[in-house]
Formats: sequence, C-alpha cells, structure tokens
Amino acid sequence: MDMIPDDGRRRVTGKEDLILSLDNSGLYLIKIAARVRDKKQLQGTRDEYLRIEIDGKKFPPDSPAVFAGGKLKGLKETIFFIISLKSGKHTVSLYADQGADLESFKISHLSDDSTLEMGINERAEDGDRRPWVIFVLVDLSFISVTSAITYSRRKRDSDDVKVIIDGKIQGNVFRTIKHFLWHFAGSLLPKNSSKTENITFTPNLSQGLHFIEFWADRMPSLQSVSFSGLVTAKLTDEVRYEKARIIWGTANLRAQPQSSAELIAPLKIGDQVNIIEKAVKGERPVNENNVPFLSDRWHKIRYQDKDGFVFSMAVEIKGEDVDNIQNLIIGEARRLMIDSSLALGIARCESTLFPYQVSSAGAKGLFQITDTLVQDLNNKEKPFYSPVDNPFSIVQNITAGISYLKWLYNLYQNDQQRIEKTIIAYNAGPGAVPQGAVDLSSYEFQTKRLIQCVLGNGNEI
Amino acid sequence: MKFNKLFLVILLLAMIIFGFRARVFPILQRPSIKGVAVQQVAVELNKTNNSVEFRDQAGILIASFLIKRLVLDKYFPITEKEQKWDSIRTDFVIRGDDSFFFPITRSTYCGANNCTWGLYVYQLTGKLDILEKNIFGNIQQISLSPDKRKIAVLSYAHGGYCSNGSYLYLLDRISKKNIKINSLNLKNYSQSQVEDLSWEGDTGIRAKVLNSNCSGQEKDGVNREVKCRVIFDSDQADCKET
Repeated sequence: MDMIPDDGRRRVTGKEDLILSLDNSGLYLIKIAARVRDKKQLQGTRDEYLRIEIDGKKFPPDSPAVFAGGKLKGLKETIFFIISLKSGKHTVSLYADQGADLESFKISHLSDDSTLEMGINERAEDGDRRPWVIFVLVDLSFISVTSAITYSRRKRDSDDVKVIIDGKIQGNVFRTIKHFLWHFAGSLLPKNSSKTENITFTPNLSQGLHFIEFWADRMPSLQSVSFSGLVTAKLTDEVRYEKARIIWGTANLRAQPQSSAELIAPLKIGDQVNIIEKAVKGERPVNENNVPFLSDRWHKIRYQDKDGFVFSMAVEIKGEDVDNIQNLIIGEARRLMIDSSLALGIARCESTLFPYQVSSAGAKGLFQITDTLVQDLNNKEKPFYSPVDNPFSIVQNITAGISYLKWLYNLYQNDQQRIEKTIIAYNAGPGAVPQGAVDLSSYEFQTKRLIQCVLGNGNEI
Repeated sequence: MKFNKLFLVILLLAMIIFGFRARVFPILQRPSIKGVAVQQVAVELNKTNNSVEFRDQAGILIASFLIKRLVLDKYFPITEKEQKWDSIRTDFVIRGDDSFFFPITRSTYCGANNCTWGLYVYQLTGKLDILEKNIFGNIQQISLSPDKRKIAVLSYAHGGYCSNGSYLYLLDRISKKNIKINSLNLKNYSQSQVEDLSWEGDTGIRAKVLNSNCSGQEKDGVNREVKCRVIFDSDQADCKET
C-alpha cells in the first residue's frame, strides 16, 4: 500500500529533509530514483553525488546506497531501501553534493511475511554499464533473492545485467570469458530475440546491512524481485508497539470493545501501555449521567502482558497529543498553502483535535469526514483528490480535510463572505451556498453552529 | 363454435403452464408483503449500463431504469452529455409492495459533514417520482406506515464537536404533502439521538430520544419518548412527550 505519493521530479541542492508520518510500525520500502552527472557533463572539477540518510543512519560513502555521478553519467538509478520503522515521525535526508535530479520518492508499507514479492517493472535507460537498481536491506537477514529480468539481443551492443550481492559478483561460469561476470548476456541470445529469465541466488545472509545491486548495460527490464526467508530484527514489545498512557483517573482493560465485556485489569491514570491495534469499532459508552461519549472506537492494547481493549478517550498515544496534532495541521495547511488558522479552527470545532472522534451521524476523525465524502476523496478525477483508506489515520485525515477545505476556499476566492461560504460548504456542500449574500437564518442549527464556532476561533469549546 | 371454445381453454391452459400468465396478468405475479416488513434489497448505480438497479439479497436483479431518468427537475442537475455518474450517491433503499424508496444526492450537495438528499420512489410500473428534495444530514432510517402511504425518514445532521440534530421528515405519497419535525431536538441540549422509531397506526409516530450535552458536562442526558400525530391535510404534526 502506498503511504506517501510520489513526491515528483525536482532538482535537489544541498540538504533536503523529507518528513514521514507513519501510522503503523512495520517493514517499509522506500524508493528513491535520481540521476546525477559526472564532472565532464558538468564541465567542472567534481562529480555530482546524492547521499541518503534515514533517521540519521548513514550509509558508507562508497557503498551502493549512494548515487555517484562518475558511474551514472546522468542516467537514472533507483535505490530501494527495505527497513523496519516504528509508527510516528521519520526523516529521510537527501544530501546532494553539487546537486541531483530527484525523479521519484515513494514509501510503501510491506507485509510482515517472510517472503516479500515486489513488482518492479523498471526498464533501464539506454546507456553503458552502470548501477541500475539497488536494494538496500537494513538490519535484515534473508535466505534467497529471485529476480525476473527481460533482456534482448540488439545490433552492435546487447542488453547485459550483472548482479552483485554484498560486493560479490554473481557471475555465470558456464558462459564465455567475455560474459561470465554478466549473468544475463543478450549477445548470447539468437539474433533480434528477447528473453525473460528468472534466477534465484541463495546467499543465506545473517542479519545486517545488505546490498543487492543490478547493473545494466543498455536497456534490460527488471520485472520483479522477491526475497525469501526474510527476517526483520527481532523486535521487542518495547520497539514494536507504539507507547501510550492512560489519561483518565480510572479505566478498564476489557476482553471486548464494550463496557459490559469481561474485565481483564483495572487501569489508572499514568499507566503505560503498548498499542497493538488502533481504532477498533466497538460500543459507544455512556457516562454516569447517561451521556454518550464522542467515539465508538477502542484501542487494542497490551498492559503487563495482558491484551485487551480500552476505550480510546481514556488513552493518549505518544505523538498524538493536542500540541503535536496542532503542529501537523499547521504544517499541512502551510504545505497546501491555505490559511492555517482556518484549517485549525475547523479541526478544533469538529473534533477538539481528538483523532478517534465518531459523531452519531457517522463523521470520523479530526476533520469529521463522512463516508460519502471519502468516496470523492478517493476519486482521482476530483480536484481535491486525497486518498483515504483509514479516516482515523491522523496523516490521511489532516491531508484530506485540508485538501477539501482548500478546494472550497478557492471556490469563493473573490467573495466578500469567503470564510462563511467556505464553512457552510464544508458542513453542507457547495450546493448549499448561494451565489449572492448568505442568509444564515435559512440554515439548520448545526451549520450555523459550525460557523459561529470557527469564527469564534473555537472559543466555545 | 365448440372447437373455438375448446381452443380457447387449451390456449389459456398453455399460457398458464408456459408462464405467459406473468406477461398477460402481471398483477397476479406481484409479491405481497405483509404489514410494513421490509425486504432486503440493495440499490446500485451500474455505471457501465448507466442504470439504477435494484437487487435482492441473492444479488438477483429485480428492477432497473436509466440513471438519466433521475433528472426529474433542476434540483439535481445532471446533463446526459456529462455521462459522469460518479458524483451521484445512494446507499439506502427500502421496498414497498410495488415500489422502491431511495435517497439520492450528488457530491455538490454534500460537504464533509452533511448532504442534502432527495427521496425518490420508483414504482414497478416504471414510474419514477421525487417525494422530497430537502432532507438534510445523514439518513439513518426510512420507514413505511402500515398503509404504506406515508414514509418517515430519520436524518442526523452534524455540526461539529458535540453537536448533532435529529430530523424527521414525514411524507405522504398520495397528497405529496411533507412535514418536517424538529421537536426531537431539545433547546439547551446540543445532541439528540433517536434510539427507536416506529409507526403507530397510519397517522402516529413514536420515537425514543436521548438528548444530551457533551460528556463530562454537569447536565444529565435526558431520555424522552415523543409521540407525534401527523395531520397531513393541514401540514401539521402534533408532537407530545409521553
């Protein structure tokens, strides 16, 4: 599943930090494609380099994890980092010496299976022998790697592919001396023919930093790569699970997400717990005054080796405190170039910045998005397209809510009642906004209440 | 003459045996539903065939019509030229004896919190009609009166943190009169939740409502039972707490 969309092509100079906010811990694939030039192309004295750091973790400067202009000579290289990351914020830093052209940046959450299959579909640009696709496995062990490669015999110079695992060339001794270092050699194929070949290497490597390099000569295609026997570093509960603390005076760990379910353990304010699964749908509890709470979501947690459910409002997950959420909203509003006080005002009035809020009308999360809007947010043809597969994901909900808000805000660009109309449209749809002046008395109480709350900067909450 | 009579009898028997009856006497084939029991039925927009389809629990097609027929007036303007039905939303349908009742909206009529819905009725005869154009919020329940002439639509409108209202729309299919009941919401309470809604006869409706403010506030939630007598002819609903 793609968590962060392709960040697009651009020139990188100096240092650039890409901030990731991940909702779940697990194994991630970070894809970075870039091109760097050599000094001849630059007509200078130094080659371009692009170096990557993940959460401050450096890779050796002469390792395959670095884009080197002297080898690439302006051709595209793709590096896939496979790494275990905890939920929360992470930083991928790009250090461009002389500059680099970033072609693509993507991150995907991978399954926890020991076999990892990836469709790659990367065709090399036409050029001479150079690094082409690199896999960097961080703190992982694996038994074997299988790749499917298509290569062709061409006039004059054919496609060749070399595979290097941890610096060791995986040659083919059954081929000619000229080709034995290149596992796939197009010149050995019949004239004008192509072949797709699957090949498995079984290096059986123990846990550590590993590099699997595919070098290309001319234009072969890497169709897929799979790793078997993949084992991530043994994660303890301490590392694997997000941390949280009980913020209610008392709370209960229950066998099911409902108040009447079997009591597993009583909890008290300040108790530290591990989050196993967030936002599980359950019963909406009521307080002692018979007032229903503002959510029907429970978290599955581990407390002193006991697993169970605790009501979401009784827990604060690390990194999900109001200050942090507020900063995320302001940051996203700035990124999408919309008034951050309007975005923050909407979120405060909608949810008081509690990310697991569910109204009885079915609106969910920080920006109280209904399922009806989610259908549109997932429609690529919509101008406010912002995919949502989990409305309780803080990142998804903020990006989607602000994207939609920005679209509405732009609809009323030159209108004197721009803010009021944007809020009405946010609550009831642009079809509810008149062309001329707004007559507030014609709206239902709930629409009026949202306008008053946002314009009052949420003071009534 | 005798031959003709015999021929007619044989023809009639053949029609019955070979299933012509359904076409000749469609009225005999109509399903009958006792009381206001609602059949499990789904409504789908088939964007390949550009049709609205009603399917039973097993997924078997019961009835369908072209999406463009939803353009009954300018309320939900969809041009046939657009042929983009992605903006149309429906997720709710109930079936009466001879009709399907279903709300429709478009993206334009929805915000992040609420939509404005039109309630449509499609009769098995092929007639399509719109009963109400201004149902605000998120539809929770549609219920037919015992005589199946009136329809109650319950909707929740959301207005941000700790604010939602319950609205009841009562519609008369024959006279086309509509009555909107706001009295499920109590002044000084920011939330209302209907926990049970039922018809009492053909002119009465009963609702169990919980009115409350935000959790943690000192005022208790209040459970109420509201009974409304609906007088469609005078566009009135007389609602009392019981």
